[in-house]
Amino acid sequence: MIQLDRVTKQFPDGTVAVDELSLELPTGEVLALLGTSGSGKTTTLRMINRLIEPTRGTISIDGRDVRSLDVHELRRGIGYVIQQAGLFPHRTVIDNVTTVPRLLGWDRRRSRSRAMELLELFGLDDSMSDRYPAQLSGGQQQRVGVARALAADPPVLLMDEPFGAVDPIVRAQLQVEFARLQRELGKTVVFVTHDVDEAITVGTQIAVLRTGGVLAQIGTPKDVLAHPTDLFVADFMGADRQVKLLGLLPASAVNQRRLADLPSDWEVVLDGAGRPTGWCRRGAPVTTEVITPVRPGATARAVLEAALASESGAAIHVDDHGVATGVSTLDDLSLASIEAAA
Amino acid sequence: MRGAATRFAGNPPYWNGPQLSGNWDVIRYYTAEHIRFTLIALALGVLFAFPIAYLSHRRPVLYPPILAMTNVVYAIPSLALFALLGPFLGYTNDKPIIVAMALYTLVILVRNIVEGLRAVPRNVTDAATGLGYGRLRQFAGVELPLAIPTIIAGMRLAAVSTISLITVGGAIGKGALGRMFADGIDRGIDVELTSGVIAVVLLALVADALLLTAGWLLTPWTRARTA
Amino acid sequence: MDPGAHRMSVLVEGVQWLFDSGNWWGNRGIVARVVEHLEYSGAALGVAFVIAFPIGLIIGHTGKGRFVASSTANVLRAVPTYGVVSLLFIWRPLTLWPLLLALAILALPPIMLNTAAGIANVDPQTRDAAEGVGLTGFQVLTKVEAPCALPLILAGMRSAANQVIATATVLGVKGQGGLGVFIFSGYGTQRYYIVYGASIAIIAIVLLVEAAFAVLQRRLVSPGLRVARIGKQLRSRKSITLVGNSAR
Repeated sequence: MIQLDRVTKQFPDGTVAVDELSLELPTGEVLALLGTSGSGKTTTLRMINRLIEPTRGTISIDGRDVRSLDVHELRRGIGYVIQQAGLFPHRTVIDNVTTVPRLLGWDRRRSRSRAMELLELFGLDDSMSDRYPAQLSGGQQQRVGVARALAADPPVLLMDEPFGAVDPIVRAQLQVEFARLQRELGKTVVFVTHDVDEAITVGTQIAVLRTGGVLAQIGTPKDVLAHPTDLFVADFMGADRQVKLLGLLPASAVNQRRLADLPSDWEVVLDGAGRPTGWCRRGAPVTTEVITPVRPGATARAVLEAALASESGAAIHVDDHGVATGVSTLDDLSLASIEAAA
Repeated sequence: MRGAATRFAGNPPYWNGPQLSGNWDVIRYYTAEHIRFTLIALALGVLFAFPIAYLSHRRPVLYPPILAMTNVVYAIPSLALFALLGPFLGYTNDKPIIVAMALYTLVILVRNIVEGLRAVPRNVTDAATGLGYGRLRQFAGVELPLAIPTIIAGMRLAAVSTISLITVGGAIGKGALGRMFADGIDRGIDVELTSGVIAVVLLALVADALLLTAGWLLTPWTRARTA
Repeated sequence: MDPGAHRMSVLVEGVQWLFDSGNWWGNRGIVARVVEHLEYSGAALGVAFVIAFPIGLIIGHTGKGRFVASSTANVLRAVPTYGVVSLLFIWRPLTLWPLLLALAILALPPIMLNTAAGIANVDPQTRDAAEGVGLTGFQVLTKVEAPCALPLILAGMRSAANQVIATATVLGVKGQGGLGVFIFSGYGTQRYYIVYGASIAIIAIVLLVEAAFAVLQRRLVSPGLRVARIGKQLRSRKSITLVGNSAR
């Protein structure tokens, strides 16, 4: 568990970067520190491994004040990943990854085999291990950066916009990959980002900071999206926060009506097996069209997309066999309806 | 006395006695000569450095051989260079010294100009090309200004080393303030020698400061960042 | 006589003088002078390195004192070696060793400034990562900053060596030692072929030393930095580093 207790950082020039910040991050959670530049999110992160010392307040990891530990020992026990990876350009990939194990006094063989294991985990094959950072793509460098941070298996990981320097497609891949790995590894992670979508994808908790390092809100991504405490958080999360929220919810969270209960004159056309094939107006001839049904396991956002794509303004839910089980209208996708359904 | 008489052929003023007072005209005379040599050498060096650098920049194949050649020139001790130029320019006039200094200047400048041009960010040159700049206009209007800090650094180095190196000419009866070194050591006048050394150092520092200021005035955009 | 032929003949005589084994041996022979030349240059470089390298490391690592260092370097560069040698000769004509000081002055700026610039130019992200994973200040310097700065440090030493060897010529001003003795005496007696012969020897030594540094660069510098440089040229460099040269 990481605890920040009324932590303040005032720089010598008088700027207050972080102001009376208190938060608690249970073990195994990923906290996304979200904010614009000047919100003190990076300063907050760097105070945890004491690259910056707080002016006031205490930071503790598993109940131990970080200042009670030797600063280098502390850092070796915390994984650290930064934008553009910060790989050592004069060392090969494998030597970069073995940095911390070697500092901790592991022998060469153990360090290397651990590093190879990690590289494999990150989808970097053997031939990469003897390359130099400059010979890798941005995405590969970031993977090596994360592998280096995890090499000594630290319980805590600090990540400062780790995927900020790669293109959006690679970034999305890395986010998903990281989220998947994190489910296996169960590290306690603090992740700095200014990208709301990234925070939602990787974070199990989101802390929104406003300028001057004041905590605006902390909560699960769903909480923050559904119930922003004020206009600042609402603005920051974006006008499409409801859509983002739907992306986090299962389709089953959306109210389903029976096929017959559509509040309009549209009807679902079914084939002999009960599978939807199109829409028609009540009493009018059957107009078959291409439809996108919502399958089990989809997100609530898929319901929204299906409803918007359909002529009738409603989405059709199907079961594993493709048999229609119900419909949802745009009304059912409102926050109020979802919360009523829950 | 005989050696001194040949060294001061013509009518340069002559250092009298072991003290400084009464000898300022000597310092003034050789300082003026020193400045003249320096200006001519720098001007010559600059004049030839730019086309060569432009060529090396446009045709990168040419740069390694040019660089190798400049390295060889730079490896030649100045006295040896004076001698090497002797058969072509004569042994008894100022030309070998000035040309030798111009050569060193050229060597320093070509390297600095090319490195400065290479350091211009690729996206800037791409943007300039994209905006429709012609080659020469892009060079003069975009690349060269951005390379000014490096070029000025090269000019400072060239000026300081030229001012310092001209004195070696004193060993062969030339070399402006360097003649005060030679005369000082020949006649055992510490003060003349020391004044010469101080004059050279001061001259070099003034030239350095002037160039530094010129660079500062020429690159307002580098100051905006820190303000 | 045709002046062109005269030029050539003086050069040819210079080469002949250099390759005439009759001029090689003895304590005033070419070999002895070459050895002296190398001894004095090497000693001056060594002295300069011991002083300039640690200062450069500290300035680069702490980022403090850069202005003082570059100003000092400029003053040192402005000092005319020939003048200092002459002064020292007047004050202490008995031994050559004080003259090393005059040569060492030349070597200080390139070693100090290149070391400082090399360290300061290390990518801040790399340094941050090094600290962040738990390297101590000393480990950051020795394991990350110094190896990354090595190309520039070696370039500075190469430049210093080049200047010192070429400038060591002035040690011959009153016949003290090194190959400069031939150059000064050749001038004095108007036997210019000796000047050429000795100059060729000095140039050859400088080029050999340059080649040695090129080999050293290849051996010592991590291949990772060589690859990195190609990519780096596309980006702008933060501070411009001069592989500085000065008086000889």
